[in-house]
Amino acid sequence: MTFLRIAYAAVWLIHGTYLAVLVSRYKRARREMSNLERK
Amino acid sequence: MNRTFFILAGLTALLLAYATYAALVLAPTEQTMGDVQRIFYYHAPSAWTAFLLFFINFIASVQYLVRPSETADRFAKWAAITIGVIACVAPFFIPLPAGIEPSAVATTGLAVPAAYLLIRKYFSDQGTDILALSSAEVGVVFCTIVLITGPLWARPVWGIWWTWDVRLTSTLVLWLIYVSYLMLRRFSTSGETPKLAAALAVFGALDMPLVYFSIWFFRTQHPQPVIGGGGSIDPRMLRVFALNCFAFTCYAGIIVWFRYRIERMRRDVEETEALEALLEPRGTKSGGSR
Repeated sequence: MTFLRIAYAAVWLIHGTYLAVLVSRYKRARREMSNLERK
Repeated sequence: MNRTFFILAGLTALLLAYATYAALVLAPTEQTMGDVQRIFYYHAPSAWTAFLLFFINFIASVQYLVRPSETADRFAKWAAITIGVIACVAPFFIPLPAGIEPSAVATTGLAVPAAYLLIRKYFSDQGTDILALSSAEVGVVFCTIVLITGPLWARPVWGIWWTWDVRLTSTLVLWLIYVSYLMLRRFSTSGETPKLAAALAVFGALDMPLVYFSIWFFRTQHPQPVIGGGGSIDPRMLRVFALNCFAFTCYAGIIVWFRYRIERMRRDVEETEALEALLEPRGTKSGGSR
């Protein structure tokens, strides 16, 4: 059961981390776009 | 991001939650391995999704390479159609290794022209490059999961974390190839990077059949496939497995879409900045293009 818990936790930790990276990239791209639009 | 994206993302989240519930609660407990076998419902669908994404990366990379030449583009299109036709017909006449179902080969073969023609129709030159990058990146995430959940399943069942057999080693090599692909895309400053990366992706894709067929052609520690490969599985387990495959495929689709959008925005910003940098020394006012 320990291995099962670790495996499922690891899967969602990886997906969560990657999603957080994507959201931060998206925010940065949005910010850069609005900066350009303001120029 | 538009409304459709958020609706689909919400539905996918619900689907994933239910698929996880089915894997942990609804699926019957395997008699020999016990609860640890439930890792299968994440391990195998992640492998399927990684393969699908690397396959999309391969098709998009081929398109990116052949599109500048009309002859090469036409040749590649007909080559994809021919592969599909041969793969649909040949398995029913040529004896296949034991355990490989002709219908599985035919379905895989049909995916080649289908994916090729769809990407050709709906993605521009730049679009194929972005699609290749997005699918490779998300594919690496799923392949990482395969390489982590595999040893976590192997330790209690085989008594070892890892063995250097063909299936496991070729999967690790596949992961390393696509990590090097992403590193090339991230750190190379050459203007030819997309072409170099596409060529690397085409060679990298050659490892996929080795990974997939290794369990038929070599003696490996990894078990034979239970679906389409001569094995058997409890129908309740099969349903949960199919549900997880579907849920992970939808999730991958949403994430690739998101990653594609981000890359598109990033390139738009870069292009506009480059244009501004070109115009500024002449005293021309830039901006307002969007």
